[in-house]
Amino acid sequence: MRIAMSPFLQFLIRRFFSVFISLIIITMVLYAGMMLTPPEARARLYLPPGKGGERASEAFVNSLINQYHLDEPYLVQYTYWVRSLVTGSWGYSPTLRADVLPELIRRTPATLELAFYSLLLLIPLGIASGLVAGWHPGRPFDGLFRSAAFFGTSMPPFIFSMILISVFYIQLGWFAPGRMDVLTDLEMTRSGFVEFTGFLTFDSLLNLRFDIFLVALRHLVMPVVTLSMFHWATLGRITRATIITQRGKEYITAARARGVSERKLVWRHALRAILAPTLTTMAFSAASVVTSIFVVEIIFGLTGVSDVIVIAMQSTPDAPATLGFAVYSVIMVMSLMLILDIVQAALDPRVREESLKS
Amino acid sequence: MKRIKRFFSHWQNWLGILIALSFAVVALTAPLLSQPNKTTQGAFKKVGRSTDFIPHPPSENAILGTLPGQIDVFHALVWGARDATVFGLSVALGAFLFGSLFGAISGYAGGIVNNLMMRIADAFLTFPVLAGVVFLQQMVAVTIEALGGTYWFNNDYHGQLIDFQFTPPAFAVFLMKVDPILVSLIIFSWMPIARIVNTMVITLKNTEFIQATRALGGSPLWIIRRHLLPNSIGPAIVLASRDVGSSVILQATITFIGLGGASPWGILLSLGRNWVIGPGGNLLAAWWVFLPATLAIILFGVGWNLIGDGLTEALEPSAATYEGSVFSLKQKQPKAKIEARPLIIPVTLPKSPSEIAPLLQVARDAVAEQNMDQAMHAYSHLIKHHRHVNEIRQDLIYIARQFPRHAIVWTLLGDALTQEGNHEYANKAYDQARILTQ
Repeated sequence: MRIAMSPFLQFLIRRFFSVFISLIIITMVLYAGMMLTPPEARARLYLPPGKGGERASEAFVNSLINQYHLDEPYLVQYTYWVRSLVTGSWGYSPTLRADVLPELIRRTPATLELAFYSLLLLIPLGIASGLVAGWHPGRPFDGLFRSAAFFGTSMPPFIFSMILISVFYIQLGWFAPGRMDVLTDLEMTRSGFVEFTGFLTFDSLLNLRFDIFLVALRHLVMPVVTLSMFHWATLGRITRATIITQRGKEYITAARARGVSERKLVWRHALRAILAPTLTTMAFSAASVVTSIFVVEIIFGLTGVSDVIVIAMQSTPDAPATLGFAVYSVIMVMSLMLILDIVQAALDPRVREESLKS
Repeated sequence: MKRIKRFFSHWQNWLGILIALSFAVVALTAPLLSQPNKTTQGAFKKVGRSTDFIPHPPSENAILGTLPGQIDVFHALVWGARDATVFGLSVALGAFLFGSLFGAISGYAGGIVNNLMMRIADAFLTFPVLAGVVFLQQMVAVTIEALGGTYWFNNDYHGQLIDFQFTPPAFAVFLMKVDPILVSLIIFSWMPIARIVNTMVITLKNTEFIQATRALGGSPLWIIRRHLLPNSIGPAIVLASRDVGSSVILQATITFIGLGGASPWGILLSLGRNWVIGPGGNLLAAWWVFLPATLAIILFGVGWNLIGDGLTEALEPSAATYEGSVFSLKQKQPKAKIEARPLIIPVTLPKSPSEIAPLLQVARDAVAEQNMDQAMHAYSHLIKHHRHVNEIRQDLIYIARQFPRHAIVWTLLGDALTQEGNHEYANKAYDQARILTQ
């Protein structure tokens, strides 16, 4: 039986399916990486609390190897591992002194908050500036845009953030690194601050504490600016290149001949045509966006998801935390890709109109 | 020759080459520019008491001053150039070799193998480099510990440090020699190269002119030299040249945030990060602490990016310059662009038996006359109006095989496929167009 589905729904299902396949491949590659280590090393993934590191006796490690089938063929082991992933037992991390998955989830809102504000800033800004610059290439604004974008792409984010911290935190004291001041944090605990979402900016508004909202914003400005600058430049360049090829197209000429105003031409007709390709490009570089989110988090001390690897890289080796982090970050990249794809499909008039028709 | 001439006609490309060459010269002559002394460890030389934690301004002892701990900035800068150049070129070469091999094998095998291998490449695209870098280092560390050794992640200016209380086993010795950052950067930068080589190999395998050359008795070597190499290796080299700069910056970033790696420039910055604002709140009071390393990292990246941009433009002028694009109404020298890619056999599209609309006929005639601008114009008009999308899609696939390097054909193909509701393949076509325009 054939069920009639709207193209949009078909698109969604196909996207979810391909993400699922990618997830399987990448976890297989990750576990293949684990397989390069001896079984004793893999047994560390299953060490219970208190038996971490060198203190685990050889007999105990051997019992773990038996219990979790660690000397069996790759595919068997992979299946057992995936089963443990799905059931939520991601192992005990000796450096975090806690189970991996709850620790990752606990740190996620900080990362999401940074990503949310950065994407909110950089996507409209990148598309708008690239659009205006590319509509009249060669004009002063285009020159300005190109030099700014060149600066943005050549300035490594870690150097830019170092300069920002020095000027705006140490020197001027306007903004601050970290997630919260110690004093505000204490005040929050004392006044019974309720956490709804984990996003400090949202929660403070929901608690009607505008003073805390301002403090949270003060801590967010520098990381958001650093993160936005690099990816704004990349997105803007792509938009500019796309609009230059679209500018001379027939539908633009036709609309102009109909007497559509230049402003409407840019912000209605041209914008629609370039949204799909630019957002697709953005989705393809989702991994690099997530990597920069982690880098910026670490530099500004926003204890987000990347905090897990910072701790894991400080002392003894910690396989469960790193493997968990790798899987978790891949899931984050895939969600970002999926969101951008869906936004793109929802905005693309060709997809949307077809789904309305059926 | 034309391509080379075009490459050297832009001052940006000269600047890029000049920067990359000067870094290479500094890297080669490092022992002459700054001699190591007995305190030297790697790229770091001490020129005073190591307990002196105040950076000293440039003097005759240290041309560019010292960092806290009296580390000579100039020495680290010069020897760091050597490390950076070797590192960047190794990553680019590794990614280039692995990527083109992977893409070519997969394209040559074709069918389900090709699908699977490209799926794997796509899956790698979803992996954040940072997670990979940490994962690989932890795997090495866990293995070393399981073999009975001890592993430290971050030692001041060494990167990782491995210690065995006994003679280490052979596997451990091997692991000690490998740079995990280098390996992981290669593992996470080969995919675009594999993709572009794969597309080219598949397109070329199916093109009639390759089959015709083979039928006419062209030797395989001649085909490879005349067709496969210039068409697929060129874009791959362009992508690899971009990796040189970006991988060095990434290595410095990873070192700076303390997640491993031993980029001397990154270490230079992380050692001096507390002195960016000098005494008295003056940003330039202790400029030698951060300015030289910052400039070195930025210049290195800019130089190689300029080379990469220039190479892209030289290989695919219509994609990069956008001046006189295929669709501009003025039609700036459209002939020259077609002459730049001579066809071996003329393109004739199959005539469909059904009634052919006048505009479609115009488009097909234009293709036969190799007037691509007019043809594309007509096709885009038809697609916009939902006319004959099915035939147009077939035509465009045919044209895309003959002109695989024209982004506009792929974009139109994507449009046609979108009209047909085949979004997956439409995305693939757009993707191809995007690769070509980058």
